[in-house]
Parts: sequence; C-alpha cells; structure tokens
Amino acid sequence: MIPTDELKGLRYYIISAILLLSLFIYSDIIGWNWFNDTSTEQTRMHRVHSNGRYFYHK
Amino acid sequence: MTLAMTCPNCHIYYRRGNWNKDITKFENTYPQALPLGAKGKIDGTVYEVMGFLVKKEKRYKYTWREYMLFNPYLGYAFLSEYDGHWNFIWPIEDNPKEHRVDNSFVYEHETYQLFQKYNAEVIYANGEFFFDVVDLTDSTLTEEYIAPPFLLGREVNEDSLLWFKGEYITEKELSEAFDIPAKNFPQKRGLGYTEPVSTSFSDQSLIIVGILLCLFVILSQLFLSSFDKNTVVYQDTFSADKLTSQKVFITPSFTLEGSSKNLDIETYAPLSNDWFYAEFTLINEDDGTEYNFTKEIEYYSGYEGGESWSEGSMFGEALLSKIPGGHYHINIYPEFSTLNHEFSIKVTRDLPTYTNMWVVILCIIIYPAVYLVHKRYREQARWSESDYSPYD
Repeated sequence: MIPTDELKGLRYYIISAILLLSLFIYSDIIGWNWFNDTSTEQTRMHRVHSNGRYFYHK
Repeated sequence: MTLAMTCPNCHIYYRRGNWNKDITKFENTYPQALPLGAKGKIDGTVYEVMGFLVKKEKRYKYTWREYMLFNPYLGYAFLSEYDGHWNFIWPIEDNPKEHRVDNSFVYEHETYQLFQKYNAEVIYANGEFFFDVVDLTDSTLTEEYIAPPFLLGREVNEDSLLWFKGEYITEKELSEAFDIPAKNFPQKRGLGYTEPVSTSFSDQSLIIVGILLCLFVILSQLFLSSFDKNTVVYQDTFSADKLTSQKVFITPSFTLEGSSKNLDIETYAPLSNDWFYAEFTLINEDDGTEYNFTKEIEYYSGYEGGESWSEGSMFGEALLSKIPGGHYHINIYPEFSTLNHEFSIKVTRDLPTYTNMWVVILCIIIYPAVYLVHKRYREQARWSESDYSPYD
C-alpha cells in the first residue's frame, strides 16, 4: 500500500510516533496522567509509627 | 546526425548545408556548469553533453540554460537549469490526454496543470545539435504543464508537435551523475517550478501512516483500558456536626492493590447557591508519603429574565497520578459555609482515562498538519510565478 522508499522517507515521523506511543503505554501502566491531573504537593513523614493507624497533621 | 554546431573560438553558429558565417554570431558567452563531452549516468543510462544553450523568454526576458545530452541507444535528452533548479527532460512518443476545461493533461496517471506558455529565442549556443535549435526555438510555442516533480513540455510550430517529459533532479543527484562538485553549479534560489516540497514521500503516504498510527493509539487505549480495574476503594459521607476539635475528618485505612496506578477522589456536596472547600492529605501508612491537594466546588442557580440558569457543579474530582500500592487513609480539612453542612467522597483506584490518548493523537496529527499547511504555502509560492495559477 505504501512504497518502501516512502516509508523510509517517513522513518523519523514513524520512530517519533512509536517512542511517543511507548511512553503512552508506559504511562497507562503506571497510572500517569500527563494533563488534567490534580496538582499535589508531595512530602514524606520519616517518623511514622508502623503500628499506628492514623496520624495527624496541621 | 549533427545538423548544427558552433565554432568554439569565434562562437558562430553553423547550420548544416549553410556555412555562411554571417548567419548567427552570439555577442556574449555564458559559463557552463557541465562542460561539453562530460559524461553522466542518469536513471541508469550514460549520457554525454553535446551542446549548451542559453534561452531567453521573449515576453518576460528571463533566461535559462539547457544542456543537450546524447546516448547512442536512447537518443537525445536535455538538462534544463533555471535559478539553480534542474530538470532532466526527454522526448516521449505518445500524446498525453488533454482536459480542455482546466488546461490540464493526464499522462501515466498523473494530472499536469498548465504552468507557462512562452516563445523563446536562443541567445547563446555552444557545441553540436541534432536539429537547428536557433530557428526551431524561434518558431516554437512551448507550453509547460507540471505535476511536481514531473513536467510535460508541448512544443508546437508550423511543422511539428513534440511532447517532452521531465523530472526534477537535485544538485546532489546531478553532482553524483557527472562527478562534478555541486559547488560548481549555479546557486539555488527560491522554489523550483517542479521542485517537490518533499522528495521522500507523498501526501497520501503521510496521511495513511498518520491514520494508521492514530488507529493504533486508539486500539492500544481500548486494550489497556480493558485491564483497568476501576475499583471503588472507599466512600463515605461526612457531616459538620461530627467534626473533631482538630477540624479534621480522618478516613479509615484502605488498601490500594497492585503497583503504581492512578487514584480518583470524587467529592460531592449538596450545594444550592453555595460553596465547599477542603484540603486533603492522602497518606501512605507504609512509608509516610503524603499527597496534599485541595478541592473547591461551588454551585449557583437561579431564575432570571424568564430563564433558569446555573453554573458550577456539586461534584469535584481530583485525579492523582502514580500512586503506589499500599495502605492509605485520607485526612480531610473541610471549610463549610453557613448553609451546607455535609459532603461525601468516593475514592476510585485504576480509573481509565483518555487524556493521554488525545495528547498522543494530537502529537501524531501535528506533523502532517504542519507539513500540509507548509506545502500549500510553498505551492502558492510556486504558482505565484505562473500566469495560470489555480490559487488566483
């Protein structure tokens, strides 16, 4: 359907699309939404009681 | 058989059987990019440069250069150069099919549009020729039709009608064919009238590849979504009268299964011309990681001028990316208005989302779209040189 030499001419476009598609699949697997995502501020508590169910902030 | 030739010293043009030196003498000489006798292989055929012509269009007075080539088996052909753009041109036997309505011809499944009509004169010739190029050029009306990178030439005079076909040839191809450095060729200016915007692929191939890639993205999305569990891991309703002295609601612990996935926290408040605001902290009980975010929802409605209206929503959604599996709870710090005193949340794990898919499709479409707009711009620039532009 598409001549081989034309596919060769489109190789950079196809390779770029495949790389983007790979990122898309990886993002879906790890649940990474590139946009429409809620902005979060991530912090880490170092002194968490392993047996405590709740702890308080603020 | 040679029917005309020039003297390399005095630049007089001789016709066969007519050796009167006064007939045609060229006043100026012009530099040649391809010397007489140079041999080059074009499309697998070896041609020798036999003659060189400089032609001038009689109406607009621009000049271009033609090199007559010869192969003992295939006969003669030409290389034509204008503004550093080259076409390889050869005679064809069969007449293309004409569409009189729009000045076009169909030949070998390509439609050629009329680009120019002109009468020309030879202002310089060097070498030997198989016909009287000076008189023949002077008495011939030439029409050129293009379907880049190809062209069709139609030469009409009182005695004959000749068709030629041509194809754009790059400096690099010509340099390799004749083993002459490309820097020796005239410098390229603008867009050649048969120069393709892309020499490596057609519009059709680009569009087909783009569509196939988009389809593949959509199928991938459908396939991946079929594995999304879309599990509600926690939901509850909270009332202001149960707020602790610390002004915080603390949800029970819930478990997020599996590896990293997204997490959706949907907030609902039964609002009527009111607002609700809360700060949320999602806490990983296993490693202490906190994810802080806020959500504000408001909903207003009324009846005005005979029409009811509303704005805002009673629902708010927070979508968190890449939340690892583990044990979690949420601390909620709400701010109630004077009217509303309750809200509820629903936490969903591994929700199918489509934003990434649309972003990928947009990225895939961008290149063909930009290319086709650029091509149209270039085509308009090409046809601006023509009296028969379809863009006028």
